[in-house]
Amino acid sequence: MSVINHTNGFSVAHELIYTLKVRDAMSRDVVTVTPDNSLREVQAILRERRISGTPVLEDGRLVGIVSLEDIISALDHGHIEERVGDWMTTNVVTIQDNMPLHRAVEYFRRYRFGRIPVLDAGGCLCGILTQADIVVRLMEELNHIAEEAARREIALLQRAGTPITQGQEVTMEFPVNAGDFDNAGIASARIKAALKERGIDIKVARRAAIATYEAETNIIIHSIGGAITARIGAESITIQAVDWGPGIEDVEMALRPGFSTASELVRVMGFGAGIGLPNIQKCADRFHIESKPGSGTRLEVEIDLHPLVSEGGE
Amino acid sequence: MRLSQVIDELGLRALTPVQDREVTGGYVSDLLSDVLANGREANIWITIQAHRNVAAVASLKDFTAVILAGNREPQDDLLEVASQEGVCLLSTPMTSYEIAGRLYALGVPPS
Repeated sequence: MSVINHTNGFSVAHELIYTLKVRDAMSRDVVTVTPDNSLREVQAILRERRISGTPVLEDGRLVGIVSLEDIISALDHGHIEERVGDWMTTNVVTIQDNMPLHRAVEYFRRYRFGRIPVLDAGGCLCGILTQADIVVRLMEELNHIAEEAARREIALLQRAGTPITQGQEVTMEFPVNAGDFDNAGIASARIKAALKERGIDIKVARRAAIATYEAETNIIIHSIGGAITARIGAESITIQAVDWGPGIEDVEMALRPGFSTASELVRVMGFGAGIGLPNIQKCADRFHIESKPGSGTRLEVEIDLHPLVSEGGE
Repeated sequence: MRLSQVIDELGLRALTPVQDREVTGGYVSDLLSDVLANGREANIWITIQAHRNVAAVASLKDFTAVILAGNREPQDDLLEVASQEGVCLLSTPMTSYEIAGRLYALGVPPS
């Protein structure tokens, strides 16, 4: 289980063994024997149930454990017909059912047992845990996480507008709702990913993403709603941010660094510093904005995909 | 300097899985547009903002990690988005000023 043994760098499996409990992975259907059974009887039980060891109970309490190795040793030394109670391991390491799984992983690594009996809060045997149980449980959980991730990805693609291919050109459209800070960044992330997929220089992709992000948040903060459209051509990407109002009073003023009309609430979140539009301008090779109070704002940014020297923006 | 070394030296707490990347510099700001304009790839960003747009900005800029200073509790959806986007979120009880000073002393340069 090297995937969960190294302490450096947290893998998903590593996280899981901290959140899952022993009782989430253990087998509850435990085969037990008593001290008065013979080792021969245990041998038959182990073979029949295809297990490699079993706890020994006396009056409902755990008093020992017998494993396949004990049986092999009994066959070897000729005491296979004798009582379990005389040959079982009595010094049994147990684990409580409410312990995190990582504790069990620790035990398996330290003691090299095949199985650990699990006790409930009252000290009664309630299950048994093997390394295979842990692996199976982790597989189930990872499978669940993977399916969840795939489902989210599909939902995101559907919401974010799947690219429409037109020969060389790709157009992507993203609706942006007023006040919807939760979905800020979806358009920019998708555009960045699309450019990276096409092998565009990461610095260029980042400039496009930053310009888009600022445009998205502008629509979210200031407008009654709008949309982002990105058109990726052979030579350049054009990002259009269009909203339906209320429009900018003084565009020249809005372009001045530090000028902001954002509300206190928005500023507390770290938006509205008055450098959004200047940021977009810095990222753009060509920049055009038109706005009229009462109608809306239309911003168009063009960025060359293959600049001779990558510059600006960052 | 590697992120794992920074985490060890400064006793930072990982809130999302750590990818041990190189740290090229640091930037401190709580204004998102300022961070977008002045942060650099593979930087560590120190902030007290703790909402989901922090993950969006960190992802756009390809930061190596974000440190939430002053024990700021991340909003639940920040953790979710950060995990999805592979953004490493770290937490410290130190203030932005103190953690920046400690990073600088470790030899992490300005952005």
